Amino acid sequence: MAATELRALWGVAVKSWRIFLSYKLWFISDIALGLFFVGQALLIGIGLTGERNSEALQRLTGYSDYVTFAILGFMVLGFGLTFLSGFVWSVVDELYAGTLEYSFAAPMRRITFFLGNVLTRVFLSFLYMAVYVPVFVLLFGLSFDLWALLRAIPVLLIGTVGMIGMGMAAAGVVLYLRDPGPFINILEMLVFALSGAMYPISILPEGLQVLARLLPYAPTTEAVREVVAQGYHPAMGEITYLVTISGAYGVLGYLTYKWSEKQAKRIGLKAY
Amino acid sequence: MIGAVIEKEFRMFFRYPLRVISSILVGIVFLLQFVYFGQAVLGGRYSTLLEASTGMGDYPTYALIGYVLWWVSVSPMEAYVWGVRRELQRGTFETNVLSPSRLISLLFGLALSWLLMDSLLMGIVFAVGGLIFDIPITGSFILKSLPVIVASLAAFLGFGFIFAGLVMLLKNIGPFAQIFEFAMLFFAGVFFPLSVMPPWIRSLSNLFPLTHSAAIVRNLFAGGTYLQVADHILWLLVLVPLYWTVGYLIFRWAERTTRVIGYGGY
Repeated sequence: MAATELRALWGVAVKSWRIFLSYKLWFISDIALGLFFVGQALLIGIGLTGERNSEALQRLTGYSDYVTFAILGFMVLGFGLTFLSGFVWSVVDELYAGTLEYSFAAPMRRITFFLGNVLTRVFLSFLYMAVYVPVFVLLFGLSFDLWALLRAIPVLLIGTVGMIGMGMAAAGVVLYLRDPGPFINILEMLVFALSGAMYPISILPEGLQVLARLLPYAPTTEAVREVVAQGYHPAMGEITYLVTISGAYGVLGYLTYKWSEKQAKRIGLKAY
Repeated sequence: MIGAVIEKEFRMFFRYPLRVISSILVGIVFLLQFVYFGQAVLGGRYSTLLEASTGMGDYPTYALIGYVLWWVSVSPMEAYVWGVRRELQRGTFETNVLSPSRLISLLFGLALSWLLMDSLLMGIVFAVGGLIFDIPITGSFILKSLPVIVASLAAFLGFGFIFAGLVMLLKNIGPFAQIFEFAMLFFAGVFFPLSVMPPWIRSLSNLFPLTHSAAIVRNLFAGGTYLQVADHILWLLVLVPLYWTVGYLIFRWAERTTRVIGYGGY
């Protein structure tokens, strides 16, 4: 049984990968998007201050190099969105293409279908990072302390639990909606705005700060940045909070998805 | 005919209120990212360097004007790339091509409707941005800007027309269009002054209508006159007929080619 599910998982991942590869320009476009994002950050900084470092940002976050600040945020956000997108766009893409019913009718568990799509996106996310890091070093003069970066990986993994949970909860909602595209757009934009990828969330109005702390993205970004810059000890507060919020989202996401799947089977939604 | 296409597009878009809300939210969030980043780096909203190079020192205002115009400027391009593709996916493009109307009218109607819809949405984003960042938007500024905004819309429509031909020929040019749209953010100085770019890029940026529209509207907002931006107005007046001609020629060529190779109802 487990072997069959693994084969199905591999099959979904390969299908998803092949669809992506059939439009190779998407790969270039996605890579370009990252370069534009960081390039904008650099040029905005230089255009406004005339300098590569910002005292104001140093006071707010401990980072004076705003490009490094933006790159770290961009990478955590890109990785985090992988799970949300993998869970929800996999349904929407197939729904719009008219193939969702067939995929759901295949002899595999629904979660295998979702995880197969997520797997491809996670692989792509790592592939992008492998391209980005040397390009950012070359183009933007980024100096990475590899050890500092590596020590942040466990923190990123803790945050990943919460991000997967969020993705599962969103997938549960998507099963209910006739046209889930706008819902996903709204959700992704909320995550984007409240992730703290490009700016410290302390700059946001108080209500939005609370909302940002209630999602798993900003706490992950902040903990990763703190660990990269200062190490584990000064970041213990952020890490403890991240463990709590991430664990809560992991449990909540799983329960929401299971409940939603049960409901979908009962009332008959999207090939259930 | 064009009116019917516009009516169809408006009905399809506004019948899903969540889609409208989602579009506005996407517009606002994208703006917030860069404005908040600029403010975090600046430690405030005012940059003397920005004022020295552009005449406008308030960063949220600078970014808001450029951003709203950028969004509208890429709208016809999006209409050709995604609108045509959407009809192809739904299987309605062939039917439309076979209807007793000229393809060029169909496509123009599509671009015009997307431009109008995006102008409406960006009007809302502009107002919300004004509220969030406490930017005083006056009636006299809007009235003063109207002629240049209308001229800009005409230029954007002509500029986007180039893509109508390309999409017929190359089918899925979404990624290419996306790269181009983001490149426009750099070439037209939407979020940062063009003074930080090398001279050759600054020269190249003159070829984009958005560069001139943004410069004119920012100048008017800062209390300037049309005379002060006469060179930008001249550029805009030259670019409108230029892009319409180039776009039309490319479209005719692409149409002839697709008739030979057979695509999209031909």
